[in-house]
Amino acid sequence: MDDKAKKDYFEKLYNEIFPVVIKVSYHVTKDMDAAQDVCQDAFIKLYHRVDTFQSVEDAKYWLIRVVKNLSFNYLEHEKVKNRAFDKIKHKPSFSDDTGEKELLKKDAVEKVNQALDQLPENLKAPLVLREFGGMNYKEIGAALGISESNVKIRIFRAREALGKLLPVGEVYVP
Amino acid sequence: MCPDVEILSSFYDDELEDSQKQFVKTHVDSCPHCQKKMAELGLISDAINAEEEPDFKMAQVNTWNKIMDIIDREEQKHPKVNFWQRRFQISFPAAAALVAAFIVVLSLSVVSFYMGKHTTSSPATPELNMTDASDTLFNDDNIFDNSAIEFDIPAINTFIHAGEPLLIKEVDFMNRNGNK
Repeated sequence: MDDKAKKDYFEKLYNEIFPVVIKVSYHVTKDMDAAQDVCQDAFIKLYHRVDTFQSVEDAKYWLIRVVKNLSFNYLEHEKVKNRAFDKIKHKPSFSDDTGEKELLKKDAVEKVNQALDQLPENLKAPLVLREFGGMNYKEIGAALGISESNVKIRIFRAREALGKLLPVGEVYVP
Repeated sequence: MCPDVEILSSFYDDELEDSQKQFVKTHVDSCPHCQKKMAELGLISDAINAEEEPDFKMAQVNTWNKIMDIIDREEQKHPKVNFWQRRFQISFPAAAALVAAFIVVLSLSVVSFYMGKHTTSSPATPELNMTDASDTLFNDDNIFDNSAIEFDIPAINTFIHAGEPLLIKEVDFMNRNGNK
């Protein structure tokens, strides 16, 4: 593969995979700058070995796995940093609407994020890929290197845990 | 009997096989308990997705530009060079050693070439005359002759096993006979 063909193929992969991985990384890190940095590092790694993948799917699943790992590593690192320095994390900005609904929504998002943070990585990763990556069980299994039935169980357990952490009726759902 | 919540979760994600899906759908439509469970799954999903998301399109463009900048810088720093256009560096002592080794090999090969030529011009080794023996053993008259062929075995009993050194066998022989 010459340089031109390599760059064209890489751009094709980027346009196809970036919308998925940025969402996954953002919903794990809860930090847009960090998510962009994670995706940038992952895609540079992909560029250096782009011609080693048999298909677009192989590259996609490999990249999702790398982004997932980098995102959880970042999260772990941030947790340690926050514990030590009590640093205030950058949160996504909301509109200026300060009505009751907006406050309820803010509160609900906060509660959901806290509940998601309490999930272990092996439950959170498949749920994030399902809810935000829009991937099916087969794709999630291929990306995480686990079986489809394992994905099914983990997503169910993640929802079950969230159901306990977020009792229905206590969280405002817009 | 109600299906397991795990099956309802797969049903919610539209991940059941067609036959199973139809069965669960028929049940959920008529079961208030399962309808409540499905509603809870929906609420959890809505709560997760309630967060306002940032502008991912803008992020896609920005990140692409950053990646291309990094790759271009990397390629400028370490440009790809064809093997035959590559420059190799070698220290002077190593180069001198290589030249000396080349000269030695060359001179050795010239010497061996001339020596080889000289050897071929020397008188040939005398050929063994085997014609008499082959005439006796393999002539046409004797091939199908059933009469026994007699060999004269030398009248000695100091045979040496093939492959064993003569010197050792001689010593052994002397010891056996007390001639030390």
